[in-house]
Amino acid sequence: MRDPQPGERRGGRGALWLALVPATMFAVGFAIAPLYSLICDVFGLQRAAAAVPGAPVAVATPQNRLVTVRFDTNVPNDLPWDFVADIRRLEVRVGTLQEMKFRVRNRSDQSIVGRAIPTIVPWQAERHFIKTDCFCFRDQPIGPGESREMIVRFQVAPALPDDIGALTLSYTFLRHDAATSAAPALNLSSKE
Amino acid sequence: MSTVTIHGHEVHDHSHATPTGWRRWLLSTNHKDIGTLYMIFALLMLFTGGLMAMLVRAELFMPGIQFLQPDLYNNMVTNHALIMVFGAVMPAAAGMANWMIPLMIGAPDMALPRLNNLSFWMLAAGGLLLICSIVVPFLPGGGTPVNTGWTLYPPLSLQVGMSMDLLIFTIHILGISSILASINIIVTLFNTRAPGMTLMKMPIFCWAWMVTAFLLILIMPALASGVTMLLFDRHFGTSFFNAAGGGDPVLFQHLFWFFGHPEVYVLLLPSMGIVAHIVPTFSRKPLFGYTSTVGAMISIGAIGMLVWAHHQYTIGMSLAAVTYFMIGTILISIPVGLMILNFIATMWRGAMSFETPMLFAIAIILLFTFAGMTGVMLAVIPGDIQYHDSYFVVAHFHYALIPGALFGLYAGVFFWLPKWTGHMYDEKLGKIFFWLTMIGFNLTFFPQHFLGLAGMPRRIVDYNLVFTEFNAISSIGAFIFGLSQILLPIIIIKTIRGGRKAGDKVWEAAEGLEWTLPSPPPFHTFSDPPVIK
Repeated sequence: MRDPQPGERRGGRGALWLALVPATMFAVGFAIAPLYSLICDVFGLQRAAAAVPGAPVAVATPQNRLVTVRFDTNVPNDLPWDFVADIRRLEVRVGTLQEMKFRVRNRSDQSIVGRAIPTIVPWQAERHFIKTDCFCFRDQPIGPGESREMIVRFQVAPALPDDIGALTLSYTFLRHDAATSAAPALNLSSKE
Repeated sequence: MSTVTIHGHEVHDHSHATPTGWRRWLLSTNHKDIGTLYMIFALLMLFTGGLMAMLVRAELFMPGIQFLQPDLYNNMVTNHALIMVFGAVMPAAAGMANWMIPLMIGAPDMALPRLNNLSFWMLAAGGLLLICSIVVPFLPGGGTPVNTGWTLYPPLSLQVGMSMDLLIFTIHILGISSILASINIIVTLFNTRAPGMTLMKMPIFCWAWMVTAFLLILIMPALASGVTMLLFDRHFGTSFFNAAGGGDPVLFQHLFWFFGHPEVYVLLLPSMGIVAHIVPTFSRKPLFGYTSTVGAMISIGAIGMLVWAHHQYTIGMSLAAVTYFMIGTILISIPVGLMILNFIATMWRGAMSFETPMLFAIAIILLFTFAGMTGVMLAVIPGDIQYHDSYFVVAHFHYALIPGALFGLYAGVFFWLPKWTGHMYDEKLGKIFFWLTMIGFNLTFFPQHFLGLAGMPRRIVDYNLVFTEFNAISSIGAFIFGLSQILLPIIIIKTIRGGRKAGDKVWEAAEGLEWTLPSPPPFHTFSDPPVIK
């Protein structure tokens, strides 16, 4: 078959070609999330992050179906705020407007701007959870030691899939000062 | 032009001067020396990782916290896994590939000898970094130890101290090392086979390594990209895995298991290649179904790349996705079963004898098949959701990896040690080692199936009182298992220092080019390629 002496020289070229494989795979690792979104869009697949902007939701007459909504609050270590929900869970009737209060207190002696990021779990419920007003639509500046009440008004659309009996609304407050807001602010309000 | 004398064989090195002393090892481009280095490294790491397992089992001997604080306990669990996978099994298999592949295909050396040297010394550097990552938390200001388990899932891995950064760099270095070694093996197998040796005449160990090497160059970069993102999230303000910043921790799980599942086959296949040499030798029959065994190995590699998310059934994937991963996973049992049946058919009506390598090979066939059974149980979604993160999983993968990978390497050591050293090992000690290992191993891991089914979670330092008895049995088994492993280096050292001389063809029915060479083979072999009919 092949003679091993020239084979060694060919080996060097073969190795370079083979090195392209790991290089490509490394790049694919980074491209995997955008590729996933692209494939889901192209084939019209449902996916977790698919918050449908401005999807028309028929607000039908209130039904008798009850859904449990749990509230969850998070503050990262670099934000010296207390952030709690008034109550941990609420039984709501689908299609009815609800109001929920949260309380935020700035423990530090400086004025800090924060911005809340909402998440709905399970993700399938996200498009059926309609916030008509939310503190998360705006930056929230809070003075030193100040305590404030935050309000979200929402309803759960009757179109919520039948197998979802409970969902969780989770907020994470992130620091959004001048230093961190050099980049254009997330315009979350237009999404709803 | 120098002359070296190795074990009485005078060899003229006509290409370049052969360094002696430490330079012989540090600057080595000789496949046999590098293979030996790999295996010594693996043996050291095996005992380091084993010591950690002993600590874990000692802590779990009784309920309550005896002498490992939770963070340190979880660190021991994590590093036991990382050291065994990256430090012991992979280097030992790579060492055997280095030693045996050129001898089996009639090549003078690996195709890229300097790259070979680089991959070994990068491995050693990676091992050193891994030790640093374990030691750093004990120093003032060192932060918390890595307590995530070997899967390194965020968000926990984002919160660990600087030992996590050292671990990330370790993975980068080890990854590059094994990619280079794999490229070298592929190039060697394609370009330096002796005249007349077609791909389908190649010894099956070479085929096993061909599949393994291709798997490695495809999967290691996925892990590298995952841990690189982890590094960015930790230090450069990105949010790949931070939900509050628009990322998703599940992305890391996918990247990790895209590496992690085929990694199981990376650990398994070289050992199955070894078994496929041992079973025919000691049954005195050629391997039953060579072509289908090669096909089975390729299919295991190919399907194994596509089923990673069966480790993640509980993350909330769509029904269609989990169904696909379940069916794919169960499909793997077909090529694996084919391979096992080929081994059994080879033994059928063979003139069998039961030397230590054969005993290990038979134990592998039995015990690995058992792991395959629990594997199918775990592949089934409703079952898995019940067994997830329990000791059942721990029992399953130890039954898969200790027989499937480690015992295969032990079998290889006993099979080829006479060829490497020129002396026969002590058969009586070998058999004692085998039986103690079997008793210890089964006593350790069999009760863990029951613990898992009863609901004992893994990676927790303490447990409910109802689990006490089985944990005590398991710990006693682990001490027997651990202590009996001390026999292995004793046997190896004894064999190196002396013993009955081994002939060229060490075993009566051994087949292949490696057995045409003297034992031990001279420093340079097959400078003129042999001709295969």
